[in-house]
Amino acid sequence: MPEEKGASLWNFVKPDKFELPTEPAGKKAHSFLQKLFSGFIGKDDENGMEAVQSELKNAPGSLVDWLAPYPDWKKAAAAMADLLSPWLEDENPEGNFRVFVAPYGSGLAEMLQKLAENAGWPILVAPDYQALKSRDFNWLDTIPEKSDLPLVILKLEAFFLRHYNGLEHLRKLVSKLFRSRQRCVVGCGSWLWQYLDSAMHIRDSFNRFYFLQSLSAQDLQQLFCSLESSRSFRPTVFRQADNGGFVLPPELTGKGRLESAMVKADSSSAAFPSAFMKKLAVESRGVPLVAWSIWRNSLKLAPDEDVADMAREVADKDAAAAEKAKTIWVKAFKDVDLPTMPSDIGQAGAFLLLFLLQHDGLKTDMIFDLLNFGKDQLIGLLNRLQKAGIIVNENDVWRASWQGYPAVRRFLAEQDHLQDAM
Amino acid sequence: MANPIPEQIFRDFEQIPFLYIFVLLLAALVLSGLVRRLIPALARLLPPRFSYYLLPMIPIFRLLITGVTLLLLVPTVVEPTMQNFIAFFGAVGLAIGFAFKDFASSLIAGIIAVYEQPYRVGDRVTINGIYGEVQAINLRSLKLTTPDDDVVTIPHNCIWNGSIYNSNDGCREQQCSTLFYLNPEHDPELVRQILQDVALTSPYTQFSRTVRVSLKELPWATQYRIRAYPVDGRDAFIYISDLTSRGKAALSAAGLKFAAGSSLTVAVPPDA
Repeated sequence: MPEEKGASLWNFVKPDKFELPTEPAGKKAHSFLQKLFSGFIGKDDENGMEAVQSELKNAPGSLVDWLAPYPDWKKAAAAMADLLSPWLEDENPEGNFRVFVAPYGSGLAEMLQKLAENAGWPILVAPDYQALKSRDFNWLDTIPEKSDLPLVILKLEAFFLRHYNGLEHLRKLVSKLFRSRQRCVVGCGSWLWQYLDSAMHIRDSFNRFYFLQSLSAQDLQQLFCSLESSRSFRPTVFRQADNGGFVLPPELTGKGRLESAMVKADSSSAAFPSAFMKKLAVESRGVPLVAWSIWRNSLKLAPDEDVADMAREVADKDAAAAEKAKTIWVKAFKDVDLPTMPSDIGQAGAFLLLFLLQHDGLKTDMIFDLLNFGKDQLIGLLNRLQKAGIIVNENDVWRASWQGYPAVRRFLAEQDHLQDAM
Repeated sequence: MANPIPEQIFRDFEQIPFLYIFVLLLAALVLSGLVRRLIPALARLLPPRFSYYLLPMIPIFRLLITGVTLLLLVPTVVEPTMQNFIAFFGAVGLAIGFAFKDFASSLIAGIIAVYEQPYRVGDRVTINGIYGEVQAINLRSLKLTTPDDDVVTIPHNCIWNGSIYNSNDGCREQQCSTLFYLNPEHDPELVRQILQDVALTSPYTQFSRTVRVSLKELPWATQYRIRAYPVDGRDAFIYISDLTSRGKAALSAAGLKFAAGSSLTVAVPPDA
């Protein structure tokens, strides 16, 4: 199936090909037994490095931005373009829609934005909130006339409200685009996709849709090395704080300029992807920004490290290839502080989180409008969840934090709420 | 040949191990209390779906504890011979039969109810016209909590002759029915679509079951009925309230008029 081929890291696959990163069964049993007998078994593999770990200091934001900058999505956009090219070249294509579905925290809208910018495709502007809340469908008249260039909908969430008038706007939009036979590339979050599929069988309206394949431990390793290499000019050795093991292959960092024979020799005997990456892939469900956010949170510096020096060296473009690679310590995965769900947030909390995921974030007034709970209760919930790091407020938009997403997903699963398929 | 000594039923006073009986009764009470508290606590800790398996086990455990206690208790008071047991239980049965007929009837019905399960803890039932959630099943009676938060005690012998409407029958889901009455002059397809969307966008709606909107023409109004399931059947009344308030808002916003006498919403059993 030529349409399914993409770049090595970013793959868009048919739903039946979608796979989550998994922990081998043997490892699961081992970690279960380890938890069970943690009080009896000595921690042999820590080599007395607990003290070192406790003394490590947080890497400052500016340094973390050099070591793990925000992805630029170029390769993902290129993978999308590759996938779409047979459809675009076909004069009589099967269906005028191509839909990309990705879990929360995948950067899907940014990928599509990049794709549209690169190809010069028009982007459909979403109606405002008041229009979506009403039965005023005039905004549909502003959809451009049919053209040869595909129309891009960055995120379907912007055209949706879980409001009694919200679904009709989507139905009319899909119907209008279907009638016009205008080629359309649509991005949709997995949570909204699952909801729309349950509520209005949207998969029947969009004949071809692709899921963003989750990133495996190997993919995450490749992603973090490429992110580090995109800005850092000095090879960096990422070592796990509790055992000193390599977390990323050092020869792939710092634009591949590693010269230290000792580090090379050490790393050649290490196994990659590391245990940290495997655990990260499982915990993050292979979601790029969730993994990226946890990764940034786990980076530490040695206590005697001069932060300013370190930042300067990493950013020094003219530095000679480093004889002595810089060391960044990575917390053991079990020690990474991830947000946990506050107790007793109850059903209102579950609904709030579900709505935030399905809308890819909501403004405060919209939350008050859409959820039939008292404003004081909702304010209390927002404050508690924000304090716990489960949600964040950015530009007056509340959304689930990327690091909190695994906890949110587990919580909603326990409450038997509608789950996404990714 | 010696004269047979007439066999006495009860043990001599000094033979009765009062301390043992006290400890036995105390242990039974403690165990029963633990079952009543621990199982609901466990159900609260686990995901909500487990409560529908755990809570109905409470009366079974309590019946077992009572039975075992009786089995251990009777031989300490009654001389353990076959004749004595027959005489003892015969006498007790006769006394209960005359003096506590209804009590005994409820006890037996309670035992049958534990196995037949016309209602379980957590079920929403209608018995003798009273609707509520089963909070506890005791040996003689069950306790319902009505939507008005009244606790109603109903003896188990209601199962002999009365009908019991069980809205969820041990499942988490429960169909809810919400009625709207509209002035007959309107576009029915528009109303059906609006009401369908009202249910589909409610946060309470369970999507594994289909949302249906049906209509019926009455002499004075057009009746619309939303049939849908909340995620948790315990939210039936909140769900109906949510559908009602949002349904009214949606219909009003679309310029539709309610029938004279306003809109009505009721919860009805699934088979109604």
